[in-house]
Amino acid sequence: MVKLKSNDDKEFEVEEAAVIQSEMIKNMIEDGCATSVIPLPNIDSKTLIKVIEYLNKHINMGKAAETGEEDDLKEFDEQFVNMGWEELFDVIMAANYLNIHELMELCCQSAADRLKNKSVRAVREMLKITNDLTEEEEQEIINDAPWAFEGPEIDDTVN
Amino acid sequence: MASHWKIPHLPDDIVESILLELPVKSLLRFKSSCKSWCCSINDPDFIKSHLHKSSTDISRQKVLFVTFEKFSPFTILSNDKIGSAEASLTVDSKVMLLDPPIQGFLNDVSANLKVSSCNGLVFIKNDTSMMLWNPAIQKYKLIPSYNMPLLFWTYSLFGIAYDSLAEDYKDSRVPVGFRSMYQHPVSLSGTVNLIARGNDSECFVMSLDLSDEKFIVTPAPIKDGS
Repeated sequence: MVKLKSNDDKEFEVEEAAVIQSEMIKNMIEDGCATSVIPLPNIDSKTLIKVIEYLNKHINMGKAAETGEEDDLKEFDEQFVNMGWEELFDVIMAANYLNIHELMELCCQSAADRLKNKSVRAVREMLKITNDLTEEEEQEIINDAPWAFEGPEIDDTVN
Repeated sequence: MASHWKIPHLPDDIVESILLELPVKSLLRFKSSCKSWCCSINDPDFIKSHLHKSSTDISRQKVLFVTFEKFSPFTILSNDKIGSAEASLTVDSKVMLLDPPIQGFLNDVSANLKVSSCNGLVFIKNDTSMMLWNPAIQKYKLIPSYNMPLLFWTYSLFGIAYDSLAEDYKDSRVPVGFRSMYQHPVSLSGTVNLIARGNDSECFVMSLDLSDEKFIVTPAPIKDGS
């Protein structure tokens, strides 16, 4: 078992087989730096619980194909990313810090799926992006590929 | 609302990881969100990563049919040319039918029309000119032909490939002697390949490596059962 500590001082015990999906922790264990509790100053307990839930579910991912659990895993992943933007970005930041490649991919794909068909106005509002382009710069980008701003799939709603 | 998660506060590499998952049409649109997104999306390294991701992700690959039939006296499918594109085009279907970008280019449609593709780019040659077309961003360029003599024009190996050493695309227009050539050139790992027939009417695969501009000739495989 490996002990992880969140930045709000909560400790979690995780099986080594699960936790080594994190390249960062795997390297720490291999280098003998994981003898006691591993402090994770960038991750709060709420996010760490989500990450551990993912790690535990994906513990035997290599075997999933053999045991026919692929569909189950796919369903879990779909449910897993069903969270708000704030939580999703927290998990992305944690996955990036812990270097968990599959989790990073899953969450970035989910973020991209939510943005894919949105209008520029909707994206700016959803992600609180301040437009710092001048009117001319913006028009130049639109004129460069006007077809990218048109189409029945483009969705102007914010949700 | 907590403010620490707003995307402008996310590190650039994380924003890029998300942008990498988007199709080209969305990226072209989101360039107008703000300056930093515009810079990220225009960055040559980002473009390279996006292409690499598209070419390794089978779900993003498309089979393109470039349709010429409305310009042809023969309204048969054999006049449609097939290309494949690794670019992430915004269609859910695996196969897509494309109209070529400039219709005048194909007015003199003939058997000499050659189509090949490489990394999502489509290379088209007709009897007098050449065009490089990127259907994902709907842009094309005409390639200067430098008044090549007609014989050169007819009996040359035309095609395009990506030279990974020079990190650039090269087109080939090499005279290969009086051999009849069939089919369309195929681009693979920096080489342009074509099936040709020599004077002794034996078939072979002719490959031109565009980095050192050397030819490799491989005897054509013998068909099973013949």
